[in-house]
Amino acid sequence: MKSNNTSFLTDSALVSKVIAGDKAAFRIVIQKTERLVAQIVFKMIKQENEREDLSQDVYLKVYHKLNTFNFESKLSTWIAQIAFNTCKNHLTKKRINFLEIKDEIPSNVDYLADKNIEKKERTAIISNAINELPLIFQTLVVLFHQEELSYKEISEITGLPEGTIKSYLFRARAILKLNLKNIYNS
Amino acid sequence: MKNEHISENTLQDFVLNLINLNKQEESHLQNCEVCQENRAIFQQLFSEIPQIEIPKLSKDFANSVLDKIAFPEATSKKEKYFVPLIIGFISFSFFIFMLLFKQEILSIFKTSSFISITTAAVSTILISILSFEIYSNYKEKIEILSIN
Repeated sequence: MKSNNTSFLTDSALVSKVIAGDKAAFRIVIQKTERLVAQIVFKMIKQENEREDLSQDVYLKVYHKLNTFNFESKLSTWIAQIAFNTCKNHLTKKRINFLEIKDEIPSNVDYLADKNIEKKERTAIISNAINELPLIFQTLVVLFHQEELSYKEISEITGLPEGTIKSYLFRARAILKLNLKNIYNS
Repeated sequence: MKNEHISENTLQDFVLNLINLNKQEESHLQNCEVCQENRAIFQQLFSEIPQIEIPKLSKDFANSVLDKIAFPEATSKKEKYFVPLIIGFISFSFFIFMLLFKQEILSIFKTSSFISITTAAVSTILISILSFEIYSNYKEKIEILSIN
């Protein structure tokens, strides 16, 4: 009953309710943003068993930091920023350079040219191709093309300049295009 | 320009409807099979990516998070106004009592004897206990109601 009432609340009203101790309001916050958090965590963290725990950490941080949220961005963008930084710190601890982009990005053109793979659905092939991209490219692709976030919002989440984001996305799409082109040609 | 293909970045932005092509680029695109193929691939790519399955957290995810958080007891509106109301009521009663028995009370406190001090102390303690008792009973009833 309570959750139905709170599901239409604005960011500001939701935040006030959560700070006042309203559990149902925080449930709504989770429900509204868990897709975006999952997108970031699943693209950045490849160990399946770590994803759920990290996502929980994200929301625990959100709850404890909520009184510092200054409404300069959307609540979902702020939460996504926490998710991104949580994953980034996790990777740093594991000595994985999340922003590393090798000069020669491996393209799975040969893999896709395999006649057996050719029969697979194109969407699945593109999904595989995205998963072959450097971690930062993967994250940017899903945020832009699946979550339909603007360059500005992605910049707020990742802390990267808009120009860098555009450049990374151009490169990521160019690699994906190569893979798709190969499907057409084979 | 005729032999120069449209840059991939321009083509990407064009397919994403972020920019328009200039006249030269437009005419090149109409006549160039390479650029047409590139455009078709980008169109295909941008329409396919949103169809990729979205990752999902476990169904019980929200509950798992909420279980880990110690939420402060939310105070209801009734509860919020109850304590000031009780204090107001007691103060008002005390004021009426003082007004009615003004002379008698003043006569007790005219001298600071052992009796007067004891009377004041006992009255204060009794009022405090009574107030606390009323509040505890009220809270207990509210809890029972919220459980039901």
